[in-house]
Amino acid sequence: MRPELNESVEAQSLAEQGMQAASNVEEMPSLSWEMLLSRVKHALGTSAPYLALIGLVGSLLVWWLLSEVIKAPLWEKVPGPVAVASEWFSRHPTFGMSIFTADYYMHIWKSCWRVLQAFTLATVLGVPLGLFMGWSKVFKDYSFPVFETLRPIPMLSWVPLAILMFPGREASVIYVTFLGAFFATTLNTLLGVESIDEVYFRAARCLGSSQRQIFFRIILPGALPFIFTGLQISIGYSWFCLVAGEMIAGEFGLGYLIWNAYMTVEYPVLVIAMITLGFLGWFSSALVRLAGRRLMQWQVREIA
Amino acid sequence: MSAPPKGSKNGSRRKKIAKLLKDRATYRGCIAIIAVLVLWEAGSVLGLPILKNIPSLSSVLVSFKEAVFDPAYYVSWKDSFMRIFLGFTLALIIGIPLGLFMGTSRYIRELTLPVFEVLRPIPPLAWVPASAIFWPDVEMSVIFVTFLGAFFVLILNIVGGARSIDARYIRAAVSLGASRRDVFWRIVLPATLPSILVGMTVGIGVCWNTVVAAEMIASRSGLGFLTWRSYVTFSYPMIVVGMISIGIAGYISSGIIRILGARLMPWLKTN
Amino acid sequence: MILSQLIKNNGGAVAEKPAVSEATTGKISIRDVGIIYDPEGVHVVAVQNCSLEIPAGEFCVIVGPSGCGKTTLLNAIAGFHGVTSGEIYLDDELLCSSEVTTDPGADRIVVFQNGALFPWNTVLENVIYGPVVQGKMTRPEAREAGHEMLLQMGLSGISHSYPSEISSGMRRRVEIARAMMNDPKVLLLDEPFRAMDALTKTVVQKYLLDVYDASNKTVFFITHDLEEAIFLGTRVYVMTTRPGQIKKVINVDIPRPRDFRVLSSEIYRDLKEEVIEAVHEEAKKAFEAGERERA
Repeated sequence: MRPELNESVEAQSLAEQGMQAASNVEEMPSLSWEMLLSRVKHALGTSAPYLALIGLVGSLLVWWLLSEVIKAPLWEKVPGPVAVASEWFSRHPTFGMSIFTADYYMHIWKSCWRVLQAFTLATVLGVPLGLFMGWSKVFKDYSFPVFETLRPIPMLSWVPLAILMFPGREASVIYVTFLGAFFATTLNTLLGVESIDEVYFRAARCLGSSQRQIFFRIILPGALPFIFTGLQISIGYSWFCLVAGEMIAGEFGLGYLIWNAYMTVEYPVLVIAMITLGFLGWFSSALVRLAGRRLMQWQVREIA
Repeated sequence: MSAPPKGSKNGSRRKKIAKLLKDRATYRGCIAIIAVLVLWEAGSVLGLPILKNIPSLSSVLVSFKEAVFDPAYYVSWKDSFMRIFLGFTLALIIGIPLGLFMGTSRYIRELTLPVFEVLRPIPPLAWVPASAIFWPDVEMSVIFVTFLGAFFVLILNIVGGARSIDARYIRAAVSLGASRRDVFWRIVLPATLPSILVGMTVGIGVCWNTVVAAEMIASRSGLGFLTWRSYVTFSYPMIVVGMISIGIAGYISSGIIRILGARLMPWLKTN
Repeated sequence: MILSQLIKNNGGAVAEKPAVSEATTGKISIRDVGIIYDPEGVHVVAVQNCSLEIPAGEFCVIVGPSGCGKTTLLNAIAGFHGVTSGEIYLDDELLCSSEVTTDPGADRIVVFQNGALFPWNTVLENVIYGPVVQGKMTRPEAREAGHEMLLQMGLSGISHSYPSEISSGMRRRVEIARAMMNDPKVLLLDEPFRAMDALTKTVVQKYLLDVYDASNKTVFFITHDLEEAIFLGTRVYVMTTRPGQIKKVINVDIPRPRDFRVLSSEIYRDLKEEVIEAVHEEAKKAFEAGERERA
């Protein structure tokens, strides 16, 4: 408790004292090499990176000991890190799945392509829908209740119906992935519009904006922070639903690979696919975050 | 003492209903929902693209009526709820203390949080087969996956909440002579409560998704299995019955959490 | 309790000064204090060679431009962080130096800029927080004492409300009550009335003056509202821009108890001119340095 208290207290003082530094930095580009370097230097001076390393290596070690050395109860069948790595990085993998095989990349590509289609569709439909709902009360009155009625149904329970609705399994997997992303995007966009301070609308009207201009110059940028929060969530849901869709109904793709590896008792492949999925999920949400920062310079400056 | 007398609560509810009836939005909402229902029925009658593949409203209603009188239907409810209950409760019991511990102790956090960050992006469902390898029976592995779904969400929310406590409150408490214990129980815990509830709300959603999919993939019972079996056995209207049931079940669970939240955090009621 | 006269005094009409014995505790000595921060490699000298002596029972007001280190100094007295050089004493006991830091405690209670009433506790629970966590009273005893305190402070009507349900002026009064409940040696107020509308502010200021007159606690008050400084303070200390130092000390020889007639008096206007002159120069420097107003 004690170190934490000091830390939080320091954080506040830091914010107070950092103000002057911030005002000097304002003219500089938001992320210069010098700043990055000083940040890295600062981070290396704290305990965080070392403890993180210990934590991660420690968990790997525990995994290895339990599954491959001790072979503890319950862990007998679990593939250990050595087994996984020797498959993953082998030129001649036992189960045909490593960084040197084309199959591996084909599955990755399939999954990414599905997420990309579904996510793009959800964004293209969800963002305007959310904006319109926030913009026009009448439209919201009609559409929002329908939305709220459908929303409690977990996305994954759509899988069988989706298979019925669309010809071919590909479309139904994409549809389920799309659903996951769509609700999060739309709702957050709506929330974003509703979070905009009334004062900005009045100011814009005083300055002579038309409805159209208000839509593009107040509503859109004003809702942007929430939209990106929504996109962050929605890309996560996309992967979540994709895995289910591929496991149940898919051909190819990482979710399918996981299921297939399980059925054919190729356990190391299962872990490879899980880790790959985790990495792709993290990477795609980092991309969304980066795009958000690029589009919302004013927020970055405020925080810096 | 601070609670208003019961009568006024009823009165305010009546007022709320009266206001709802006067509001144009209520009627618009009803119209829209009815329109969707009509479209749904018309879809299969008129053979509209895509919509015609969905079992019609009337056939779904018939199936629903059959299901309501079928004891097996309720067994599905019970099985799914049992899994949710076990997995979610386990996540709460382990996740809340661990999250608070990680939020308040810097070194523990720096040691363990990266591990969570690395594991978190792996979708909970991807754990289903791994969990099936690990646990000796299917039931355990479904519950474990349900637990995982809520667990990560809870931990990350609680750590975030505990870290973003306004330093003023801790300073004020220390200034008033609070010990470390007091700061934890009287400041950190109530201040983190909203984040815990957010974690629970999101977590229960993930739980239902996970349970449904896990039941479809691996289990022989529950609402998810009911839905999947209906597909496999070509009783398509039952698919929709299953979906609606899952929706209602999810709604009930998140409603319980909402009520719990209002009970636990009376200071938030005004805003 | 010390505040027993408060209610009578709170009527608004100025009676003769209540008979309170001279304060004997709460003397603060700040000797040659320097405070340096080093966040992320940015070297910030917040306070430098700062010295001041505050006699027991004085209403001391610190004014200065934003970010001049006022709050830093207050935090050091409160025990939230240490000093880099120099010493701070409370009643000739060392509070902090470059080697020593004393944990925050109920003898020096802080009222924060934006208020720090615990939103999850009712007004009464907030007020009795100190005695309960210090183990000075049992809960029922504390509740009784808390009710008594709220009654004396004219706040008994809201004892079961949550802070979010009462006005900002009321919140400040509750926070002062929460501090007084602990009978502290020193009250540390960090721009407590900032962001309050002018009318509410005058009410709460008068309220604070009444509490002060009735209790004779040492008050360490930070503000950048100059009128407030003169109206409330016995002495006004003007600080320079960062690194903060005491630039000027102004004695406010306006008799207590004070009320709003003070604001239109000759002596008040002269003092105000004096303070403005001292502060303006520093404010300009700070402004030109590109300092941003802190919200």
